Amino acid sequence: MRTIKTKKLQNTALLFILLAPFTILYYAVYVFNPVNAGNIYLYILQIVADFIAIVVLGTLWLTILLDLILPEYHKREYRYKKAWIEENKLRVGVFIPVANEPIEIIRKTVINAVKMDYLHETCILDDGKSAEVEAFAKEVGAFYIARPAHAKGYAKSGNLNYGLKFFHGEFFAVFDADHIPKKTFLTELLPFFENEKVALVQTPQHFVNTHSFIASGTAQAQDVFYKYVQPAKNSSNASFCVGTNMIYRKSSIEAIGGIAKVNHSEDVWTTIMLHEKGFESIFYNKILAEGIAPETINAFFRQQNRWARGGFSLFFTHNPLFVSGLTSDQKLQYFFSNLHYFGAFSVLIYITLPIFYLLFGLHPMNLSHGNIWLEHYVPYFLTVYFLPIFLLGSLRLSTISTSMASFYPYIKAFFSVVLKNHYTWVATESKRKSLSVIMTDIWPHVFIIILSLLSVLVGWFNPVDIVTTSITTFWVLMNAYFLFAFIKNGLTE
Amino acid sequence: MKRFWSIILNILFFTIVAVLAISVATIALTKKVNEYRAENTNDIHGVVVKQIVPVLALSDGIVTSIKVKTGDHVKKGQVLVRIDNPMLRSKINSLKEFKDNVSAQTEAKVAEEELKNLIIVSSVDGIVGEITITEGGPVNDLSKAMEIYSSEHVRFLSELTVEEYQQVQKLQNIKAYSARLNQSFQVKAEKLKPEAEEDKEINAKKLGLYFVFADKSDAASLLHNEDLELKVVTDEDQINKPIDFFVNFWNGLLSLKE
Repeated sequence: MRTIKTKKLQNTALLFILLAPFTILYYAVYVFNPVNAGNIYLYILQIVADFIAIVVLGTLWLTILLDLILPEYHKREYRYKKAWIEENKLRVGVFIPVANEPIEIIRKTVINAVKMDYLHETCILDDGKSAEVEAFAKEVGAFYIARPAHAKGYAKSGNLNYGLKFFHGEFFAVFDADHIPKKTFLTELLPFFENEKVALVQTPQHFVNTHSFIASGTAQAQDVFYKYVQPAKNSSNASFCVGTNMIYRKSSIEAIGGIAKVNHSEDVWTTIMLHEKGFESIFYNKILAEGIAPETINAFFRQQNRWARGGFSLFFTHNPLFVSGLTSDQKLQYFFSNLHYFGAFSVLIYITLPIFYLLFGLHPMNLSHGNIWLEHYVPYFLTVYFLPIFLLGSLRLSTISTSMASFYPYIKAFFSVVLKNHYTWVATESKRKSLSVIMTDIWPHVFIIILSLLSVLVGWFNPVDIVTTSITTFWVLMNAYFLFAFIKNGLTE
Repeated sequence: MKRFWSIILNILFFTIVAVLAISVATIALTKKVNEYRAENTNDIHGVVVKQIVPVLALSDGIVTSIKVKTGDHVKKGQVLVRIDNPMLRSKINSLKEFKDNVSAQTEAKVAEEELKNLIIVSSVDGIVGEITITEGGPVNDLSKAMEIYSSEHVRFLSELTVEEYQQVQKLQNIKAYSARLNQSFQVKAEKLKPEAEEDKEINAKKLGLYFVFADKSDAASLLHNEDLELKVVTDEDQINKPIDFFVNFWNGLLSLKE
């Protein structure tokens, strides 16, 4: 018996976590009071943005804090006996679904998967049907299953389900083509399955290509999720699958009719179905696989768009709050996760409002009473800004840049889910053969950057209020710089 | 080839986005400049001064018809009013019966001459002002029938501070703007109001300055006592700044000015 502890937080971080509700409340009381409204349309935008931001922040805060203050005896217990896997000869499979990724990437992953400790069979599930990959599989002693055209559909989920037909073991691990497992992956995770209710054991996604700007940003943004959010969700038996670096119990998957048949985000859908059936999931906070995060803008946006679609589609079509079979803790935790992507609207509004002020002199709040707005905003902003710094140790430019820039794929995902647009799954790292027009991805960012610079010129023509104009200018230029850094680094890499 | 097209498309896309951003920014700038200009125009007003020419009836009689109404433009020699005098007519008729009486004939001729005065014509070009007679009503000899604001010698009187006066004197290009007609008129400083000439020495706060209109036909359409705004266009303003390109463009395209 043992419990998995979250890394101990610095006391300063704890202080900030405890302080946050007060500053947030102080700000909320001011901003949600219509008496303080300035321009009414901008005010509506402002309260929408603040509402989303505060809710998202609040959920994060609740998740982390609840986990921190939970007394030891109240925590979930895990059965974990290393010897169990030696006593029982488990039949384990390792699935590596691929879809047109470059062979160099697949090669490393498969070789390392084959080399893992504990007896297992490695299987490449190829959706792209490549003779090259097939030959390579034979060479390293891996199975090769290419999904035939008549069985196509449901992207990665379809691929995994097709592979499952040929697998007669009890457990199967899944690695994306760009996630290289460590030797001890199976031996460290399999013992959790001694508890027969456990259907899934998940480990973090860890990105090693941090020399790349976008990848390092993604990596750090993920850190909050894997260091704090997933372990906290784990306490509520609500940690979910992230599509790679995990092991499923085959019988549980069969009990829910296979991997969820959806075009994207089959990982979350499968987990929620497992939880509905009363199965358990475990998040094991130890890096046991090294992945490669997307390095190009296009690949990064496609990945973010896919993740966001998962969140939005769950929110709109299978809202966890109304799913029977989940415990109330699970409902809440899933709901919190879905909310995360709505933050994109806040980001966009927060970027736009200062530009509006400089261009048209319009402000969402009534500024005629001097600095009341600042008095309420500054403490709120400081807690919001420093909280992630304390949680992560430091905040990289790339993290801010990439998080900010991803408002576009998120909002795109929102509208395609709401408007029920068709979606074709393209692997994050696959080679795209069509014409690449980078402007289709970055036009909102380019527009914002140009407009920001021009708005500063306009803002300083006969400025009404020097102080507000100065602060706003600083703000606009900062935002423009973050977006610029994203585009510059994304294009040069 | 693909690379070529992707570069072309990227450039095209970028241009569209950049033009959009520049449009939004310059529209905002135009609004600000309009506001700024509205706040900073030196608000010098003045009034149109027209020469008032009285139209007199030169004979007693009854007004049969008034051919014009207040505000009408009239030309020199245009018929304004017709007057009838039945007593005079019957007098002429009875005098004419004394065909052999020379003095009676002479008197009849004189009376006939007087009949010509029953038609009142305009002596100047201008605009009809107040009409003091009514159709069917009586008029007396040498009484005033109406006023005409002459189009000749139209002036524009403005009260200026000493600084404004000095500024105006240096300039060639001064315009007077009529809000009623939404039209600007080129004006030239003419002379100071006589009493102002005397006050000039004793540091008068305001000086009355007369302007004449460069184009006389412009002046005809203005009303007496009408308020005009004096637009002092300095030589600096004449030079087009890059800002003006956008400001004029958007002001022309969208009606941003109130």
